[in-house]
Amino acid sequence: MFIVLGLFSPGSTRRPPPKKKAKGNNASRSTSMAKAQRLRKPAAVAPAPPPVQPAQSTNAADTVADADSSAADADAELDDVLASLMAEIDVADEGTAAESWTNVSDTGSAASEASGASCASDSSGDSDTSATRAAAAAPTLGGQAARGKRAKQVLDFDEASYKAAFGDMPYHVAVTTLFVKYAQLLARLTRHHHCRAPMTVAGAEEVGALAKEFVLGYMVPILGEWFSTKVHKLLAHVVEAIKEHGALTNGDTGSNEALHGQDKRRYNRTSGNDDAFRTQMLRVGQGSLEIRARLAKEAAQFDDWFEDAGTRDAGDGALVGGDAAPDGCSNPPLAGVRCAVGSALGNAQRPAIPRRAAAVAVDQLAERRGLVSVADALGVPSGGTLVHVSNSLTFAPPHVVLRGGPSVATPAGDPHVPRVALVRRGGL
Amino acid sequence: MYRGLPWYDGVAFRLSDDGSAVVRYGMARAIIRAVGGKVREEVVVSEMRICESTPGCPLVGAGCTRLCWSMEPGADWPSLRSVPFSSVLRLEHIVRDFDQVTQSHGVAATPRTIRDNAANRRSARFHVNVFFPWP
Repeated sequence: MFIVLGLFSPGSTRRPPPKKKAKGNNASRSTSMAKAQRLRKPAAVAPAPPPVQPAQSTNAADTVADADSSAADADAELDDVLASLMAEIDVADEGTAAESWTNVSDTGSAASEASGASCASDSSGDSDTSATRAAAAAPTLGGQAARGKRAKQVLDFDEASYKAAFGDMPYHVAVTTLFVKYAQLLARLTRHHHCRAPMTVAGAEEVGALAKEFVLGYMVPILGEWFSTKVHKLLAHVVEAIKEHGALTNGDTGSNEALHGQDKRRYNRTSGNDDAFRTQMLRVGQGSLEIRARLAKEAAQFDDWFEDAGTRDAGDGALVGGDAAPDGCSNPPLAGVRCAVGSALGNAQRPAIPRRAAAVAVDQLAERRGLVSVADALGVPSGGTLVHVSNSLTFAPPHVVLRGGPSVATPAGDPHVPRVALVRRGGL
Repeated sequence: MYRGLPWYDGVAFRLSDDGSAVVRYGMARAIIRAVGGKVREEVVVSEMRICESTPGCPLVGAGCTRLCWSMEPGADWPSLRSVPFSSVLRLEHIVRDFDQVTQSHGVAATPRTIRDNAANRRSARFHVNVFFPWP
């Protein structure tokens, strides 16, 4: 009730009048403005005695004067009604706030106990729900409602609880700790640290205890009392939510929504008609799939032809396989280098130089920032030694990636270790 | 994102003569596929080393290793090392230590506003972001 009144009750300052419609011709606008001015003028000069009208005044002038006085009366009456309504609402607001504070104070002891209770207690939600609501609402409502002022959604920093929780720790360190705890909690909730094993009930309860520790042990002492539906759910309903819906990753629509970006170009090619755009997008999508398949097939055929040609021309590799870089050519014929490598290895299964790897001289590579001593790192003499470099590399790490700190357990030998790309900037 | 792919330069690697508990860090500078016409699959990294941390730092306590550039005395740039692909353990999200940035250069400073010279590179500190949500 308090929230509803707090949201919808008028404030101490009145809202500005609604803006006039921007559209419309100037004549009508000027007419309406003139009418408004005519209606406002008598209200402003209402206490003043009416001007003495000449006896030969026309009937029209009398009509205008009557209309002005009636409009002034209507405005005054409207102001009176609004003032009385505001007074009633303010009285009801204060009464409701005081009443809610009375109710809250009944559970105040429970709230304080809950705030100071062990964070690793049971993760069922009923008692914690009331405790959280009371603990979150008490200072905000009670402190200001007792002073007879309107309650505001302003956090109050409780230095005593902060001292009790963190001692003499600097505030910025405590805030950093808060973020660390939140990151750990989020990692456990979303299970995005390469943990693909299903969450057990014990794990869910552990996550619930972690959420409770985050709210009561870190969030409330640092940020003050917080009344929020999200915090309440985080504190009281995490375990139930996990039991019903699984890990939060299952409810994350980010991956699906990320696909909208890919379909945006296709959608822009449609007519935008609600009945037709789906079919049009499907047609465009199928067409692009066919084109991609055709290009992949052509690329595979070209690779087959390229491999065959390299085998046949293996002897030509020695012509360009030297260490000197061709003058004015930063990208020598890679086919020759590839053939040289292929002839040296004599086996197609052995690693070969990727065709897209650009060849640069070591001196040119050393001109880049931070690569002055690249020749020493590679163990080659400075000069025109050709080095083939790639822009990016995709590899599967040979070891299981362990992340998320000690609280995140990664099963050994997880077959779902993703392939990640190491992408280098620049276009070497 | 770089052309639809994540863009990571930080790597964790372990050399062949290191123990199983040793993890080294560095920033990839060049991906080498061949040297002198011979296949050599290596990554040239600017070496980083684990450095001191503020006592009680919550990030370090959570597992975020604090790093700094590994620079020889008198050198202007971090030392380079060529690491074979097989020695790269994983990619790392290595971020600048903003506490050091603000303490050394003011609260309005950012890594981009800091003058890029040898002295600032020596004093730069980094953190391994263990909370990064890898795909």
